[in-house]
Amino acid sequence: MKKAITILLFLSLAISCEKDDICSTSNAETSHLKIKFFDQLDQETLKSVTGLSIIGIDNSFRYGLEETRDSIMIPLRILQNNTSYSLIKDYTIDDNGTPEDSADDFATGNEDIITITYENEEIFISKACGFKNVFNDVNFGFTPDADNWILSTTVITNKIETEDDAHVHIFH
Amino acid sequence: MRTYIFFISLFFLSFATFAQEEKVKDSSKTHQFGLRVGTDISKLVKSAVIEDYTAFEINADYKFSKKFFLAGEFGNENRTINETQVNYTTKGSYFKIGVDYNAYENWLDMKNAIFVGLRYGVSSYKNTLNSHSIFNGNTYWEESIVITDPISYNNSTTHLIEFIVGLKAEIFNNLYLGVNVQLKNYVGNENPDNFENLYIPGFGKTTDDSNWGVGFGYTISYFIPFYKK
Repeated sequence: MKKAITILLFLSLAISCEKDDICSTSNAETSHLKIKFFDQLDQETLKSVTGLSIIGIDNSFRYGLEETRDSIMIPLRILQNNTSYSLIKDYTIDDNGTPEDSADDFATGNEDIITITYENEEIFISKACGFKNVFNDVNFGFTPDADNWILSTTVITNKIETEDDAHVHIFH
Repeated sequence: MRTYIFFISLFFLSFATFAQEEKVKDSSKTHQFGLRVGTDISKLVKSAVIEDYTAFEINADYKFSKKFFLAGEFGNENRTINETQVNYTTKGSYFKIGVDYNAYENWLDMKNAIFVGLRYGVSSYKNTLNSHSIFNGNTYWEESIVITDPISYNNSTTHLIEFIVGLKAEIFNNLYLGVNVQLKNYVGNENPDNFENLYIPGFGKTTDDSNWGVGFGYTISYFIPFYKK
């Protein structure tokens, strides 16, 4: 009887330990929109955008200021059905001839506005990871202006769920 | 907490067993057959101590031969758990039925038991997601997204297989204290649409990597004798 009590005591102690769940599932996070840039004339060839600056419309912060990129990953607004970004090519700060005085500096470059529309869907991943958002029925476009550097676009997939492949190709 | 409860019950149990081991062994003994009905004290204590948890379990066994008991449990649990990403409530009932085998050789007319048993169980319950967050590593647009609209899911049913090992000691006339540990596995578990059964009444928390779970119980029960043989 005493031996049995001892065994049960150890078993009971073992049960007291509880495993922590850590989110380790791949692709558990809500995906970014992945855009690749191609040559308009040779549409199989990647073509980098020089001096690319990325700013979310209605966002007071700049998302990224990159030297030269042939692909970008940008986050989409989860609680809304659309997200717009300003993509500025050849972004530079013109110091207006006065390098010491930054007050009269102004930005130059060719700005194009892209807009992505979609439907949100929450998908349960696991207890530790919770839910992720998947973007369905994705549409992609850019606002025409007098001097677009973006010439055409192709939506590769209308469901943004993982970040393995580009979702949109931009030709320029 | 669990360990603490265990030591208290261990204290009582050891008194009961030491007292009885002083008795003289005799080969001629009678068996009393009858129904033992009780409850799981640990569930009552946990209900009182743990916030957002209420549970109750009735257990019973019927001695139908010298070594074997027909045994079963019926209970309900209502538990709210707050994980980092999800806060959910599971509410439901379960029953388990099976057989216990008493491996303990009693002296005289003692009725103690060191038993091993097997159970089949069914748990029927309902999940409600009280709040959840959307896993978004990028905070450029939103810091973090927490949805507080509750979501109710359809009823879930889970079938369980359970191995149980424990002991029961008679502390007073026909009154028993018992302790047991359970190793359980769920089979035939159907998850609701776009959610998982994270807690199963009668089983406990589920994990991502296996269908196995462990549990323990501290029982107090009363034996109603039917006849002697």
